[in-house]
Amino acid sequence: MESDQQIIDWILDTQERERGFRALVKAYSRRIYWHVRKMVILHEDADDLVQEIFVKIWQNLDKFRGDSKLYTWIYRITTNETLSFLQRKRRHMTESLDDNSFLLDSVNQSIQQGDISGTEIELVLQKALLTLTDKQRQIFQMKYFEHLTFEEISDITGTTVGGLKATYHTAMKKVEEFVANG
Amino acid sequence: MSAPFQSPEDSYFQQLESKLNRIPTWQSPAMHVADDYFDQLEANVLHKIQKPQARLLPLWGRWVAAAVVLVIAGVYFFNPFSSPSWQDFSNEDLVVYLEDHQSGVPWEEMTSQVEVRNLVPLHEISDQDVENYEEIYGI
Repeated sequence: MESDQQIIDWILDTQERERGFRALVKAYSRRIYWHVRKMVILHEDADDLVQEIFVKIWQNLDKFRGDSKLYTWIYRITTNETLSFLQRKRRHMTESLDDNSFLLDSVNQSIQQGDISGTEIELVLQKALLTLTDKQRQIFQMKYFEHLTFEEISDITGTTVGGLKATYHTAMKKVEEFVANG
Repeated sequence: MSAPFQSPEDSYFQQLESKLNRIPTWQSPAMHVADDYFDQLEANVLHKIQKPQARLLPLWGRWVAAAVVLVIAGVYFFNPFSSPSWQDFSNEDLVVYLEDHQSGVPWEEMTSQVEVRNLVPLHEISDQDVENYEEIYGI
């Protein structure tokens, strides 16, 4: 697999841009997919959204100047598109801007289809995560499951480190309470 | 050597994470995907970027096109430059007008009791309007 620097060099060279894009897809498809999948739950939704994200990356490659890290730039597009997708789907499926019931339905559907499996406690955690807002859930996921630092998440989301810590703290508390109370 | 300074919030978060890391239940359930999915994903993405993007006009072109459409629509519906034609008048208006006109009454003395639709003064009716009316109605 090519290094980020090699991919950047190819992207910045108009003759090699497509080669750089292919290498980018190979290098990042799994990471982007799993980030998106954990947010949208259903594989079909994740598949559609990931393809849209890569097309958007391709369309905006000429705007990438190499002044930020490649994964930061890719993640920024990924997180924004994921949040937009969830807002659109929520508007379509529910009446409330805070309603995550459609995601809970997706979890139940995925369990029935065998696309999600886990112990009872793990499934309680998944449901606990769905009590968070999209942004809280995304930040929690990036910090707790993907092990990004607050500084990295700040670069991606544009939120200050202090703001992220506050959001993370709130998310942790909500999840703790849900898990404790069932 | 003293330990490096930790701000209260840093140590709080470290303690919180340490507490959570000791809880074995904090694993999310496994999500599954087919083994060859990522190869297929790569192929689908590369296929999509190679399809020609349907874009007839650049962004500035779309603004110009929209402005042109608005101008055409405005001229069509409001038509500030046209003079009123006989189609703007009701039959009653035109009959009165023509009776006056044919009787040789000067424009200035023509009856003003007839209100033409769109409040066009009678003296602005053109001769062409009259001819059109005469042709259509056989007057």
